[in-house]
Amino acid sequence: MRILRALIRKEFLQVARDPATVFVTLLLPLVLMFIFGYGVNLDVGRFRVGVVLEGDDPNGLSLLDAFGNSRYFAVVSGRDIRAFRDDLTAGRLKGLIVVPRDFGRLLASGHGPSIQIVTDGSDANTASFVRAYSQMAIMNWQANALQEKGRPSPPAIRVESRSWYNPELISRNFLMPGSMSMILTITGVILTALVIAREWERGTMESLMATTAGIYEIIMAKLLAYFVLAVVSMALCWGMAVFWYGVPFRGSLPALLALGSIFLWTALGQGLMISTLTKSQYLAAELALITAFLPSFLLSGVIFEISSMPLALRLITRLVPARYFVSSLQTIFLAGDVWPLFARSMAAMAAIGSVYFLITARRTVKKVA
Amino acid sequence: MIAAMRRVRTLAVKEFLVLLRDPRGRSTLVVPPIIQLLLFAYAVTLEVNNVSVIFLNQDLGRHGHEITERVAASPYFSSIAFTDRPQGLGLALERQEALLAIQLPQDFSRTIEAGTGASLQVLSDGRRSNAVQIVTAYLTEIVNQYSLELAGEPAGAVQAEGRHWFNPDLVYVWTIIPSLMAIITLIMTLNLSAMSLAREKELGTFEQLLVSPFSPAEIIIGKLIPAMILAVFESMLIFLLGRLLYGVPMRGSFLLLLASIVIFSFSVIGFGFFTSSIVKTQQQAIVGAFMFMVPSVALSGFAAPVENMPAWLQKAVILNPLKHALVILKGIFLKDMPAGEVWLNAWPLVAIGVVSLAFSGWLFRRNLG
Repeated sequence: MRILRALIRKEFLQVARDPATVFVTLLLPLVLMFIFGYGVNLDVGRFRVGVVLEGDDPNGLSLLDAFGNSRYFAVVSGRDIRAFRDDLTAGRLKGLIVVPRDFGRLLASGHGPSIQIVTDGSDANTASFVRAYSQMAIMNWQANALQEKGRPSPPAIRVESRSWYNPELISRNFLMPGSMSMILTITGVILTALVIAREWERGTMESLMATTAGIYEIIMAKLLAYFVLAVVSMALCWGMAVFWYGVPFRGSLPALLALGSIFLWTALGQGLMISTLTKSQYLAAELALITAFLPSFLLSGVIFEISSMPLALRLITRLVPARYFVSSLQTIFLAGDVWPLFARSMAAMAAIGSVYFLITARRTVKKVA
Repeated sequence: MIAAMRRVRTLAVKEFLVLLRDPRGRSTLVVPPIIQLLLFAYAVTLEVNNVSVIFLNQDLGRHGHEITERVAASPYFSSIAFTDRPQGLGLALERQEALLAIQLPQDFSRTIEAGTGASLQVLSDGRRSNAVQIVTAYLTEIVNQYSLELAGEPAGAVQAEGRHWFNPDLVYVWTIIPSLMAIITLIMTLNLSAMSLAREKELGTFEQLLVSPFSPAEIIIGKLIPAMILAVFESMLIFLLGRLLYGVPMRGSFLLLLASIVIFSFSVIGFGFFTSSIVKTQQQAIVGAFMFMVPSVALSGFAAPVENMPAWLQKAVILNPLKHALVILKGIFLKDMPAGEVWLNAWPLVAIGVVSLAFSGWLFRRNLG
C-alpha cells in the first residue's frame, strides 16, 4: 500500500511537470467544447438558393417573395438557369428553383404547371434538405394563394408534433453531452496509451519493475492518476455544457459520476491494452486514434444515426463503449435518471472494459515471466 | 546547387528507409487507411432510416388503420410496435425503444369523414432532435399524401419536381468517399510529419542532424518530399478503393486531383512540421497533431455545414486546410470542377503551407544558434 501511494505521488508529479498532459486534461476539453459548440450545428440554417424566373408574371414574383421571406433560404434571383450553373458547381449556391416561362398561364388555366428544384447532389445531406424545404415552401405558397382566392385548402389531417426532452429541437443540446464522450476518449484512451507506451519505449518500465513495486501496482498507480485527471476533464466539460451553453441537466450528479467512472474503466482499459500490445508511442497513437477516437466520433451515434447504418456496422457499434456512453449522457442531460437505460449501458461498458483488462493481464504476465 | 539537391536526396532516401524499415511501420501505412475507409464509409450518413415507431391507435375506423399500414410500408420505418396504454408511449420514448410515438385519437376516422379536420399526435425523442426533424418530415409527407388522396387532388396544383445534379440518386457514399479521402490523408500525413522531428529530438539524433552539413531549408525539404509522396500514395489507395469498391464517379481531371492533393498535403505537412519544431517529445507532438486534427475535422463542413457556423467562425475557417480540400475533392470527383474554381479554393492551402514551413524553418535556425 505504501508503495502504491508513492507510485501515485510519482505519477502526479510527473503529470504536473509535463505541460502536454496538463494541456490535454484541462485546456483541451474546454477548447473542444468550444469548437463543437459553435462549429458543429445541425439545426437547419439558411440555404443559399437561386430562384430563376424565366417569365415575368406576378405569380412567379410572389413565389420569389415567399422564398425570400422564408427563414430557411437566402435568395438570389435571376432570369436564366445558365447564369447560376457555375455557382452550383462552385458550391456558392446549394440549389436552384426554376419557375418556367409559362408558369402563370398554366396556373391560370388550371393545368398544374411544374417548378423544377435543382440541388447540388455532391453534398447529399444538404441536397435532400434543400429539396424538402423547397417543396414545403412551394406547397405553403400555393395553400396561401388558394386561400386568398377564397378557395379553402382541402380538409387535411394535421400532424401535431411535440418533442420531448428538447422541445425546440436544438442540436447543441444533444451534441454537447455527446462531445463529452469524445473528449473523455481522448483523455482516457489516447493519453493513457501514450504514457504507458513511453515507459516501455524508454525502458523505464523495466527499471520500475526492478524495484520492489510489482507490475500491477505500477499500472494501477498510473490508471488511478489518469482516472482522476479524466474525472476533472469530465467536470470541466459538464460545467461548460451547463453554464456556458445552457444545456439543461435533468439527471443527478452521482449518476453522471457513476456512468463516467464505468466509461473510464473501459477507456483506461483500452489505453492500457494498446500500450501493452504496441510498446511504441507512434503505433500506440495510431492505434488509439483508429480504434478509439474515430469510433467515438463516427460510430457512437453522437452525430451519425446508428439505426441508419448497414447491419454489419450496427453490430460493430455494439462493441464501441462510446455508443453506450453517448446515449446515457444524452439521457442524463435531457431526460433525467432513466435507470433501466443506464443499467443496460453500464453492464455493456463494464463487460467491454473487463475484456480489455483480461487481454492486458494475460499479455503482461507472459512478458514478466 | 547540385550539391544541395544531392543532400536533399540523401535525406529523403533516409526518411523513406526509416519509414519502411520495419514491417509494423510499413503496415501502418496501408492497413489503417483501408480499415478506416471500410468502416466509416457507410457510417457517415445523416440519412435517417430503420426508424422505430410505436403506435397508440384508439381509432376504430379504417383511416387509423390505413395510416399505420402506410407508415409500416414506408422504407424509412422498420420497427413498428403497438401499445394500448397512453403511458406505453412515454415509456418507449424514455428507454429509447422508439424515436416517434404516434397517437391516433378515438375520433380520428369520424372527424375525417365529417370533414372537420382530424389530427394525429406525434411525440418524439428530442435527445435525437436531428433525426426527429427528418423523420417527422417523412411522416408528414405520408399523411399529407393520404389526405390529398382523400380530398381528391385540386385541379391546377403546382408540381414541384426535384432533380439532384451531380448525384441524381443521392448516393451518400459518393459524397463521403471524397471527404474521407481528404480526412484520411490528413490524419496519416499529419501524424507522420508531426512525429518526424520530435522523434529525432527524443532519440537525440536531432543534434546530429544539426551538426551535419544540411542547411535548415535542406532538412525541411528532405523531410517534406517523402511525406508528400506518402500523402499521394495514401490518397491514391483510397481513390482506387473508392472507384472499385464503392463506384464513386470521377468526372473531373485526374491531373487536377493529383495537383490538389499535393497542394493539400503541402499545407498539412506545414502544420505538422510547425508542431514538430515547437515540441520536445513525441507525446507532445501527438497531442499537438491532435489539437490540430480534431478541430479541423469538426470545422470542415464534413459533419455539419459551414454555413451553420456563426459568422466569425465562418471567416476563421479559411485557415482550415481540410475545409478547402473537401470543396475541391468533392468538386473534382462529382462536378468536374474547372481549374480556375479549384484554384480559388487552393490558394489558401499554398499560403498556409508556405507560412508554416517558413516559420518552422525560422524556429530551426533558432535551434541552431
